[in-house]
Amino acid sequence: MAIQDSASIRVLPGTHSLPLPISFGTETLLTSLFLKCSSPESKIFIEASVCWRAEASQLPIVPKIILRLRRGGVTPAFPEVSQIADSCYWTNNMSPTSVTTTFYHVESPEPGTDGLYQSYYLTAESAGIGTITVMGPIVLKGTTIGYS
Amino acid sequence: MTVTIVDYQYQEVAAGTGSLPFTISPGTEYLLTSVFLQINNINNRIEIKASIGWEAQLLLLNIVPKLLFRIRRGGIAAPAPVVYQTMDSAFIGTVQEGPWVALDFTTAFQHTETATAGLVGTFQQYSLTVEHVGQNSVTLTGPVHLDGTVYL
Repeated sequence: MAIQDSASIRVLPGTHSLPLPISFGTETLLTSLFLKCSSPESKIFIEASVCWRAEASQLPIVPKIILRLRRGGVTPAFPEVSQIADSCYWTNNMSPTSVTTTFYHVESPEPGTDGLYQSYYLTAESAGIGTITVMGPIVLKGTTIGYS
Repeated sequence: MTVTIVDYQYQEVAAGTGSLPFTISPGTEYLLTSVFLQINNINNRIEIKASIGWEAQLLLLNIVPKLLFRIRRGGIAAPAPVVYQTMDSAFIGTVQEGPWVALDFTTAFQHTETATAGLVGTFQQYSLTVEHVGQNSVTLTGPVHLDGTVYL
C-alpha cells in the first residue's frame, strides 16, 4: 500500500476572496482540488476545515453553515459525496463569533476513472438565521491510497 | 527514509442510513462504528480520524448538551482501554429567547499513537463511542466517519 497521490489547498485569512460572505440558500464555492485515481481498489481520503464567523446582530441568531463536497463539478448537478452542518446560537451581542468546522470523508473512485484525475469541490451554504462570513483559513486536503 | 502504509480502514455512515438518526440520553455509552487495523511492527504509528454530525434542540428547560467521544482499543466497551477521548458541547438557547429549532453540529478530532509490544502481530479494533454527559437528549444525525491508518 502506498500514497498514490496527494493534494492540498490552504487559503489564509485576508487572501484571495477572503473574507467571503455566504449567501442564504445558495452554494458558494470555497476551493477545489484534483486527485489522481490509479486503481479501482484505491481509496480517496479527504479532509476539510473552514473557519467561519456569524456576524453580530441585535437579535438572537441561529447561524447554520452547510459544507458540501461535490465530485466533478461545483453545481448541484454534480454528485454530492459528503454534507455536514454546523451551527451556533448567538444571543444579541455586538461582537461576532467564530467557529472552525472540520470533517472527513473517504470514498472509492468512480468506475472507469483509473489513471484519471478526479476533481472535488468544497462549497458552503448559509441555512440558518443570521449572516455568515467565511473568514478562513480554508484547508482542503486529499490523499489517494492504494496498492502500487 | 520511506514511510510505508501498513494498513488502512474506514467506516462512513451517511446521514439517514444505517441506524441514523438515533437519540441518546445521558448515562450510556453508545458504539458508533469501529475499524480493524493490522499492527505488525513496534515502530508502527497509528492515526485515527473521526467526524460526527449531531443535533440538539431546546426543550422546556435550558439545556447544555455535552457529548463525550471515546476511541477504545480492543473492544467496543469497557474494559477495553480508552486511548483517546474528547468532549464537545454547545449552548443552544434559553427558555426566554428560544430558538425552538434543532441546531446541527459537527465534531471532528484526530488521535495518534505508537505501537506497543503487546499489539505487534495483531489486528486491533478501534471503536468510536459517544456518551451524553450533559442534559436532556441529543440526536446523532450523521454522517459518522472513522478512519485509521497504520504507518511504518
